[in-house]
Amino acid sequence: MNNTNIEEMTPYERVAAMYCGEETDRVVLGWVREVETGIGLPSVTVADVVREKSGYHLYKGIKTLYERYRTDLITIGTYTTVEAVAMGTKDKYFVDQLPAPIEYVVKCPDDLEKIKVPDPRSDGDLPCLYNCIKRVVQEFGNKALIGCGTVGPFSVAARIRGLWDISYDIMKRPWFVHDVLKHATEACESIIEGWHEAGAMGTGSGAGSETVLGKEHFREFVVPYERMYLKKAKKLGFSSYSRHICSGTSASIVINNFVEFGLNLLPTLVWGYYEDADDMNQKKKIFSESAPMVAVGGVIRAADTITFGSPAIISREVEELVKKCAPGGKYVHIPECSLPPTVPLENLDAYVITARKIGRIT
Amino acid sequence: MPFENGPGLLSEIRAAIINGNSASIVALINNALKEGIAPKEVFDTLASGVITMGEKLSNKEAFLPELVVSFETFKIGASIVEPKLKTTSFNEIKRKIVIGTVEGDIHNIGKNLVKTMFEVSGFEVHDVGVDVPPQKFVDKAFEIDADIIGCSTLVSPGLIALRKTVELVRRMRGENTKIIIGGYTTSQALANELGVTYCKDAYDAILKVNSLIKK
Repeated sequence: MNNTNIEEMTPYERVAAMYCGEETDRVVLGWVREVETGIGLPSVTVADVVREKSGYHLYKGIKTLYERYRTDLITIGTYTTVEAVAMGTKDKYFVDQLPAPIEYVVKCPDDLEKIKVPDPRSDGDLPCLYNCIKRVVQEFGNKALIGCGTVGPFSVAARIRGLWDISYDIMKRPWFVHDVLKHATEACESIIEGWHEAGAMGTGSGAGSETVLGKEHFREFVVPYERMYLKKAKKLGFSSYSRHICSGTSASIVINNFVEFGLNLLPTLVWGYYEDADDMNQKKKIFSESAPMVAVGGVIRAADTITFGSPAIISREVEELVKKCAPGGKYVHIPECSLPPTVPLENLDAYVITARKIGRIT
Repeated sequence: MPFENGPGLLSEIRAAIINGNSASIVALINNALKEGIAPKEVFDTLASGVITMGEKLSNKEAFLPELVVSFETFKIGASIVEPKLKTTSFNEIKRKIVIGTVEGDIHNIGKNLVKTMFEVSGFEVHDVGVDVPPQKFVDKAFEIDADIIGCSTLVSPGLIALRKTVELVRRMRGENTKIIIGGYTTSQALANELGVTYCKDAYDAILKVNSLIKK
């Protein structure tokens, strides 16, 4: 790697080269996602941001961070229950925190008849995202790849039924889980149709719910529905897919079998939970052998190192990680999960700017 | 333990817990009690099944769905045996633990798994619930004279509340108060920094707390 610090490629060229394993002028910078809490807007609460249907506050938060860090990828998101809330799950708001579900909409099989497929233009807090995508695409669409996804069919199902109950159903009445999943998949497809219409180029999925399943349950209850969702994304014309593997008992199992599961129908970034840089590098090599358009990213802990570490520690970890994982492409510099709103800006600076300074990657 | 591998009602009860066989557990327990097996022995068998499932989860041999049906089966079984235990109590002294999910976080699955594991391991568990302010942990610890305080959080902003809770507990109840932490966003590094004990899962919590108590 050569520290020239001169950018010769556009984000589009850089990302395309990265997926192909070709030389890039620097590492691809993934999104910096704490925008949902309205960073840079100190008088605005979390609820103000995520419930504001015009998406203005969310857009302002994204704009603040984008203008500071000029990442190659921008993702637009609010909270991981937004799809389920649009379908009728009730949530609770906390001070300075994202909302969480408190009452699930599907309590019994009959409830499935009452829930509707959400329209991202009008239902729940989805319009915030829909309108924000439009604003961000209009302003930054020629400067960065803009994506927006959902938590994916299984995680939506877990958020309309409840994770404990859907786990019980998996063992005792799997037919009901499949019924819930059909509704959840339809909801996800409808939502990304809206995101595509608003101008998003990439999409994604993944939250913590599916990484509590063992391999066989993942194969039965996650894979078929996620493949349907992916096929829809491909048909709509999305150019890439980011698949988040959140921590959970089976996170490593999902990553190890990702390609076998057939979840790489689009150029895919598998980001999130890897044990360490060596583990991620090993997975990258495995993916490269059987799925040429799969990239990796993650490792540095959002809620740990980036939040509570010092800028010096973060810079050192970033440098080691990028030097180890970026050569040969197929690596995106991204934390392993969403960043908490409390991350000090100097830590974020260390996280992004250190990576940006690392030059040509072959 | 005699019921672990051999034939007989106790081994069937244990298998029913491990396999989450809620349909058979009531009849099995009633048969065991009719045959004169002591309620305490039946309860210990149920508990052994739950602890085995916790260990399987820890070793990635079982996952949440398997654990959920196992725990639900245990609940059914325990509801039959526990009333009988109360009438034959030996007034044993139990270690007391306060557990809860910290303020700003309402995730409860992990906490509930830990709670059940402690209960079946002979602890007196006082669950203060979810979204718990630091003061509530302290108040409950004083009220019951707790031996251990357990704080859980799954979300990153919960770490701030977790730090506040640990700080307040230390200030109000002394530096030697035994505190355990767990949940996705917690880590060994954080535990080292705070001077508390990190538990990677429910089974690990039992092992660590048993070790802490011996100290």
